[in-house]
Amino acid sequence: MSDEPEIRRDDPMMAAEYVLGLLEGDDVNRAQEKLSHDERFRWRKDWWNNWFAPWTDEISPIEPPADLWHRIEREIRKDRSGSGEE
Amino acid sequence: MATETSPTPPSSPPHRNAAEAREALRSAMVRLADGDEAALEQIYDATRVKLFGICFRILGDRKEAEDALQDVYVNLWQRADRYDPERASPISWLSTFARNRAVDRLRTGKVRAGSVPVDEAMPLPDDAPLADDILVDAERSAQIHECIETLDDRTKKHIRSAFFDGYTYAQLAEQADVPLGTMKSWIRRGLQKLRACFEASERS
Repeated sequence: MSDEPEIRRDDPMMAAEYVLGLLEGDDVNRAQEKLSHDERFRWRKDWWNNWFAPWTDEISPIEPPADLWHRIEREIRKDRSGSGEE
Repeated sequence: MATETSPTPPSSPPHRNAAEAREALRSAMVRLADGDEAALEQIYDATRVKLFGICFRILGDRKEAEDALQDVYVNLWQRADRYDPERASPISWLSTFARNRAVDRLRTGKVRAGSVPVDEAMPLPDDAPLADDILVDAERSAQIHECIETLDDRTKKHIRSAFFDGYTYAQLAEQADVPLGTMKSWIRRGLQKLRACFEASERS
């Protein structure tokens, strides 16, 4: 272990932990609860997401199977026509 | 905008530059909120290879990645009004959305985390369309890399693993065979550093 002082877990830190998906269980619930009413926390969540999102540019793009669009189309049309006939 | 006479890569549409591509995507997102199905297809065409790459990277399983991708666009359709252009660019928002859906799927327990080794890049098929490359915000992309590079190797490795493999604190601690509290302080110190670096590059 290092002898550096412990890092304070302030709201911006908690937002980063939440957007990265580091948290589990009650910690996730607490963050989500905070998101539901705390505008600053929501802003900070977006802020981290906007910074981290371009990191995905490192991931090689891959072509999905050709029929996937049709699967999506079928599902949204089913959704559109309600629970009635296909 | 200055137009260079450099040869156009064969895979990118010659009539569109990055600003036009981003604007086309932004306007499709607006039309999507009005229930325009053609807008969804346009968004799919522009983003599918990027978002499928993300889903596959997180899930490490083709079938799961396909289901995740389907889930991403169907959800986007059903809740199109959730995108707020004031809060994120379309491609940032969609990338975040796809990553979150894939991580959620990973956490349902059907798929085991880490099916793909951390630093192993997936092969890019030669014929993969690269149209979405022009949506990349090169400047932001460079800035995040610069900030990540300021972290020590250990911290970088664990934060990368959280982002690209969807690992939680507990999983990272177990994998590194250190107490949970130790992992938390390593990562928190890294996140504090990243925040300072991001904020500094916003000021400059």
